[in-house]
Amino acid sequence: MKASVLDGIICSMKKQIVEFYPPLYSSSVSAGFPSPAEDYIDKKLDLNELVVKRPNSTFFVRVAGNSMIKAGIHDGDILCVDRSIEARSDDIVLAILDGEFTVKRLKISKSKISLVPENPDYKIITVNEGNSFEVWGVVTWSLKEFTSGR
Amino acid sequence: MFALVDCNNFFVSCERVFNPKLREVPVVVLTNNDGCIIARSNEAKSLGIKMAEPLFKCREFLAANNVRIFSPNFLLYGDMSHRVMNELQKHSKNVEVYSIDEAFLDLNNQVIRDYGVWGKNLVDGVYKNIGIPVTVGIAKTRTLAKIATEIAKHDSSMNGVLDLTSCSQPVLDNFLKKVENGDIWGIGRRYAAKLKNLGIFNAYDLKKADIGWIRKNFTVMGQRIVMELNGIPCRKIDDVRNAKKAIASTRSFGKYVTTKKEIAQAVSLYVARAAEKLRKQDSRAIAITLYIRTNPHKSDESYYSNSRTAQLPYPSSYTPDFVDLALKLLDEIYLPGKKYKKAGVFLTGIVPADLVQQKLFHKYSDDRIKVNDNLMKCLDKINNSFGKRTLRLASEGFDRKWYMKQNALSPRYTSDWDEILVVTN
Repeated sequence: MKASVLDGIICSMKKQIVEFYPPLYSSSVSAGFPSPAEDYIDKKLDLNELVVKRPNSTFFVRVAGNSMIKAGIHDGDILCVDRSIEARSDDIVLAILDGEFTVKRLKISKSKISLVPENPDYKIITVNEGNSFEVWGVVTWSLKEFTSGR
Repeated sequence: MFALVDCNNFFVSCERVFNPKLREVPVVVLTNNDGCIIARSNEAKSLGIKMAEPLFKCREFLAANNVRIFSPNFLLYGDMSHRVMNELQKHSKNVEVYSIDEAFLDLNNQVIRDYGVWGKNLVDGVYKNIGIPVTVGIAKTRTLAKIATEIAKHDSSMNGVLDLTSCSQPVLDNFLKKVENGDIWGIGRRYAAKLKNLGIFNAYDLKKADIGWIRKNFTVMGQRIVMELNGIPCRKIDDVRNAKKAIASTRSFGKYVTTKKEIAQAVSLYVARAAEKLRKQDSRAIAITLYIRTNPHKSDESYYSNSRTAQLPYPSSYTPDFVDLALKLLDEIYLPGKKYKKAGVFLTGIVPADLVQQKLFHKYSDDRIKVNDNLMKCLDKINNSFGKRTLRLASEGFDRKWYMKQNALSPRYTSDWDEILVVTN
């Protein structure tokens, strides 16, 4: 239990002892006494629940290549991409540039849109009038395996 | 008011979401065993490629015109369909899934100020969140809504939305004059021809026809169509078959169902019914989608809805093939402790029974297929005579160990970790 909650319990207990109120059981922790019913016995940690906020618009893709290493995205990582999020400058996005998928950091300024890699060996791409460009979705999570399938 | 949402060239659109190079080029999707064409992009349609065209007949033409060819990826299509249907629930509480790529929305309990704007939001929302382009028709009846969708589909200036709700009669009638009999919801080839012979050439003629005379010659179903063309809602989804794209068999349960056994019984029944419809129209199907859900109207948080699709390696109209799959799918999506209110099955990838090439890569030999077909014929005859419905047949089991011809299958982008989209970065 968090320290603040414990403090709350101790304070209210003190209060009750001093004021001679009978202890009250409540389902809300903030009132001082946690209810046994709050131990959701069935519940397990679920990655889907954590990572997939909007299942309808969430897709997974695998990265091949290292143009985003400095952002912690490496060859073979799996990315969680949500199409419903409104892309903002500095978001890492899955974009389509001239018919090709690419994962880059999006930079939007008053005058231009750029796709910025996170690897000094790669160039920044400026989106021009002549390019076809579309943000497919915003990268929300990445999944990296350290044991190579062992 | 009702709306009909229809995904544009659905199978092709699904492929395009994960492969942008397919946009604006001719694309076709085949049946299993790469037999014949079951889906075409607009560019392919423009080339004159026909629906259900056998591949062997047009292979050279396709190659000469750089037409991209795909084997059907029903796991992908089923998953994308489920996403679209879920997304539609954000725009209406009453979503009536009609086929793998169509749904009616009953808007009568909603306050919508401007249906055109509402439709645009829906189209934009589905495209943004899922990547599938859809068309929406909105009108006073389901029949008119479907007509609106058809019109909007062929008129790009409408941007995917046609709102007929506040249309003046002359404008509406002008639209109806351009709609052929066969394009009216529930009118098949036979009735369309019969109407034509009796001097009714389009939806406007039908709208103006004498109701009594229609009732006499086309039964109460025909009468209802006329009433709906005149703006009086009176048709339910279950009344109408959509034989071309998918066959649906769905029902809400009278009371809540909680055990898997009970749902399995219902599902077996729905599958048997759907397969019967399939045989009645001399078709076979490749894939089956099962969906189950609890009651979406209840405010409690335990709402659960799920669907899953399975694909046969060959087109079939043999009930046990589908029952087996459906029960396996149920195993995958059933959650205990839920109060289920509705279940349904869709049979998709529908092809004419005689166009199917069943030779080499088939589970059954030609003789066995004949036996199966005869068994089904017998079954249907018995059911018709005694008015009973088969609940469940002893199944033969399903063996996937043999090879199936699928030369151009796209990855299962949304159902297999080994097949998710790879981005070369």
